[in-house]
Amino acid sequence: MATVEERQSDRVQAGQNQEEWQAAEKVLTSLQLARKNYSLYPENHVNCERALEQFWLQLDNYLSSYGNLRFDLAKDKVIFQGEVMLSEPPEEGNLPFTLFRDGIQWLELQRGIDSEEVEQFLQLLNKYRILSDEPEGDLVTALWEARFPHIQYYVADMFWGAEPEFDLTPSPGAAEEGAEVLEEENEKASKSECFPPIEPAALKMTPEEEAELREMVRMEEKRDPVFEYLDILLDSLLELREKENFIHILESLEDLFHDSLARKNFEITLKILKSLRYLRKTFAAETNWALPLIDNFLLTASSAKSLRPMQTAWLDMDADEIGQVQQILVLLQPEAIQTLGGMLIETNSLRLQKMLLEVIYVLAYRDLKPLEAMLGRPEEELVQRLVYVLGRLDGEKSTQILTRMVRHPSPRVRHEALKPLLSRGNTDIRGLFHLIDDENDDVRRLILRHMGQDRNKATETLLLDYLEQGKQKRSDDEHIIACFRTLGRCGSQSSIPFLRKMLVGRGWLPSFRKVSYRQGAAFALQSMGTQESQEVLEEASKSLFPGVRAIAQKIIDGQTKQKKG
Amino acid sequence: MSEQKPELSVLGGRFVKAFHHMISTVKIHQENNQLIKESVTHFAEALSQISGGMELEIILWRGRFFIQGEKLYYRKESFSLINEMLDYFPQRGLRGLLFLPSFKESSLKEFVTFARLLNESAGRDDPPNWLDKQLKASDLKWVEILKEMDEAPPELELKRKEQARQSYMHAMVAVKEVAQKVSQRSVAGIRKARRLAQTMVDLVLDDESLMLGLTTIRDYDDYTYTHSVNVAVLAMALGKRIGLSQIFLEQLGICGMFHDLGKVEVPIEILLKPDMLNTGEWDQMRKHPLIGVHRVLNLHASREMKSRAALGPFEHHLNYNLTGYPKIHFVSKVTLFGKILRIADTYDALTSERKYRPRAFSPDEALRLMWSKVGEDYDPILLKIFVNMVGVYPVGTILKLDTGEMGLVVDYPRDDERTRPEVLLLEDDGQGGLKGGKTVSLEERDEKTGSFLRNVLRCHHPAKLGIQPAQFYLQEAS
Repeated sequence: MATVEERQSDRVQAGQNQEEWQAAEKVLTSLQLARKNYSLYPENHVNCERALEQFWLQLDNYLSSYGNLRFDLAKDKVIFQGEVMLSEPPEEGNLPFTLFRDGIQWLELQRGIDSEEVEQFLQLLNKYRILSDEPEGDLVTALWEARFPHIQYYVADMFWGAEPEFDLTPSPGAAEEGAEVLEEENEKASKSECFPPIEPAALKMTPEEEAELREMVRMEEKRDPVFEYLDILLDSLLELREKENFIHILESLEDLFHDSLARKNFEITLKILKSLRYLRKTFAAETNWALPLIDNFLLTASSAKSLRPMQTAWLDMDADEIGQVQQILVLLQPEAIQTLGGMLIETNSLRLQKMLLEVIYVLAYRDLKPLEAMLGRPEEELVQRLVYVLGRLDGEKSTQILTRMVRHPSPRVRHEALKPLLSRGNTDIRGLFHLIDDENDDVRRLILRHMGQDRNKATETLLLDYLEQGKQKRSDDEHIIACFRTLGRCGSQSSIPFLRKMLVGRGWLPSFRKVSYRQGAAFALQSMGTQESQEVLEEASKSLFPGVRAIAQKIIDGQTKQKKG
Repeated sequence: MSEQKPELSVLGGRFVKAFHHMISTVKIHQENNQLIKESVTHFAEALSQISGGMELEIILWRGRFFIQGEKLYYRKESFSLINEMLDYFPQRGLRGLLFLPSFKESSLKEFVTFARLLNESAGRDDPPNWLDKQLKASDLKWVEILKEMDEAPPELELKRKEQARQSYMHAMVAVKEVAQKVSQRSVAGIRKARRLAQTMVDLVLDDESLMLGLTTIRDYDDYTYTHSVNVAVLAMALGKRIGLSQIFLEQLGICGMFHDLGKVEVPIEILLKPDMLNTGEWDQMRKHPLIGVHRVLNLHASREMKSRAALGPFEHHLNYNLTGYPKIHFVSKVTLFGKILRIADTYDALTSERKYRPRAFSPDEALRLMWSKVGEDYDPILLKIFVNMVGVYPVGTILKLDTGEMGLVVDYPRDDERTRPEVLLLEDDGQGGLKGGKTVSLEERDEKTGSFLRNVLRCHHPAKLGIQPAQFYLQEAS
């Protein structure tokens, strides 16, 4: 029978066990809460941080007071010191099941564990909360990799059922007749090709070899295996000339392509594209079915789906990286213009814009159609920039498109289209003459400046007709005068009768035109600079009409000043 | 199973070193010498650290120290010290020592007495019993001696063998499962394979010779799968030797297991053809590395894992000098994994009976053949390490000895001695077969003359005697 002291001791012991139990239960409860938060929120969410802190506090409290904490596991239970502490249905997502599913029989958290280890442990618990079909790994493979110094566990084999025992007895055919045969074999071997023995000295490692080995291992553990992987996939494409395999490998390359863009691993992206172009050339002569597959890859690589994710990545790209991206983009299909154009107006970085314009130019050079298709877009700024690119492209097709674009509703676009058109030597001015009446000052100035560059019969005829017939749509004096000045620069003797008529003639002119026409005519005659034109001016300076005289005299005075100056 | 004691190798090494220092110092100096005091204090501290207040068992078994049931690993610079200790125990008929927690209450004088008695016991008739008596007479109750025994190995050895056997078997099944799934163009998860690779890494790190012994397994009907597991184990062992981390060893194991995945699509008639292959058949055979790569893409694995796993199939027939196959254009060098697998694959293939070859090479012949192509087919540094690892007479070699005995190479207990292995003597079982007898070391010498008791006359392939060497390594486990 227990003594009073023994009973008291038992009671004290029971009290201590009760406290320990409660402390362990708090750890488990806080672990459950932490798991739940990790499953609901991103890891850096404040709820996760709080839950982690709470779990760590409870755990630290237990470990300091009672030492290592071990839980035993069943598929639906967590057991502490032989008693069930937690019971949950054996379902995915529940803690006992998650641990038990992968064969963990017990789990021990040990003194010395720090919060970083705890956090990583929680991350793994969350990652492997639910397993997919045909998983790559599980909680146990992850724990093995992590090598947590203060987390111990025991795993039972649970994959293997009633597989047959492996028979280690040799095959009946393998045994020979015994010693006699051995001797015979040895004689044959000694007479035949003999491999010399290995000299023991040859097996000693030199210091240089030791150093080389260390470096080999260091490099191996440091390098990114993706480079070799890529080379292997490419060589497989080159050598394995079967369609099904080819498609499969291309799919893997596609994944690699997207991944490398997202991670800014541009060396890989570039290599993929260059290599595929090389493969395309190689296959062109031999394997017809491969070309559409490669083209399709390149088309997909050029699509919005591939390129759009890059926009996030290039927000903080430096100059070198932008250069690399440029090298990549120019290897894409011209269809990429459709996406790149959009990205062009969405970025504020001048450097990026410049790069994109360059790329669009290169792509459009190969095929104008994608760019042309973009010109119908409503975004004025985009169209203007694309027209700028178009302007850099020579050829009949681009001229045709530019000629169309000078009728675009946007004055900026018209102006942008006009510039390159006018610089092309073979542009027919008749198609552009209507711009003389453009609502936009810059457009009008541009066309007039162009027409006034040199003496040109066609231009002269158009202008004469325009002015004589009063075809102007604009009535402002400035415009009229500008047209006359242009006539003066491009015109010839043929214009003098008209100009004389405008300056000194008495024919009826609406009063609102009289002055500007006379002035314009005077300026035109001045610009002509011929003897005949000068004579008309002299004549006008002696006109009976003060207005006419004044206009002509002003011109002559100006000429005199110029001569003196 | 995780039994991690990351400090063991450090604390264990310190303990053995302190032990060695103490017995050496006590041998040389008088008892009241300051050096003795220091060495004894140091030993007591080391003992206290490693025991953690519990009892501490140190055992010598088959040329290795085990502390608390865990094999002690030591660095190269500790070789000579460890070797001395490895000799010290057997000279006194000791299997081991057990230190009880009460050592904490013992005085420095008691430690000195203990060391002195240990030293003196070597010169006695029946050293272990003499020592036992002396320890009791000196009232040194905190230490017990464990005597040598000839009977069955300790439980830990049995447990390890069973685990190794099971892991090997399961690895074969795992490889087969994956191969069958990928051949049906299904996605295959590698969870099982990874678990096994991790277990095998732990086993290779723990008991390399046992695992190398398993690589002698040959399944003549299902060659590809045993071959794949053998290559994985050999590769992991070589990887461990060159210092690859455990995570990389796992990846290397995966590479090894799946390196021949492409063979599932080579017609069986070609694989088993006894004659030379014709051009068309050879072309088909040479495709299997590329098909293997393709099959790896069907594995449900991360890109990093696939990146590594693809190396196995692609590179295992590529030579160091980039000859071999498949033809390469983009690949410009063989990776470290590829070089390791080339060696492992060739060695296992050469030592296997194949229908197209008149005979299998014995392990030592295989090594000599491979050595003749060092620098061409094989990386010189890696091949050197591989030969050092498996020994001049690799585990699984049958040796004809100058005593007339036949022996099966089972182990090289010392890392710095790879020419005189331990062999299991083979005896006639009276039914036309062979059975295992006792294990002897070829390092044993005649006490009077100093010459070796046994020398190698020649080597044989185990298949010629109808032997599966692994049967002998594992027979105590089954």
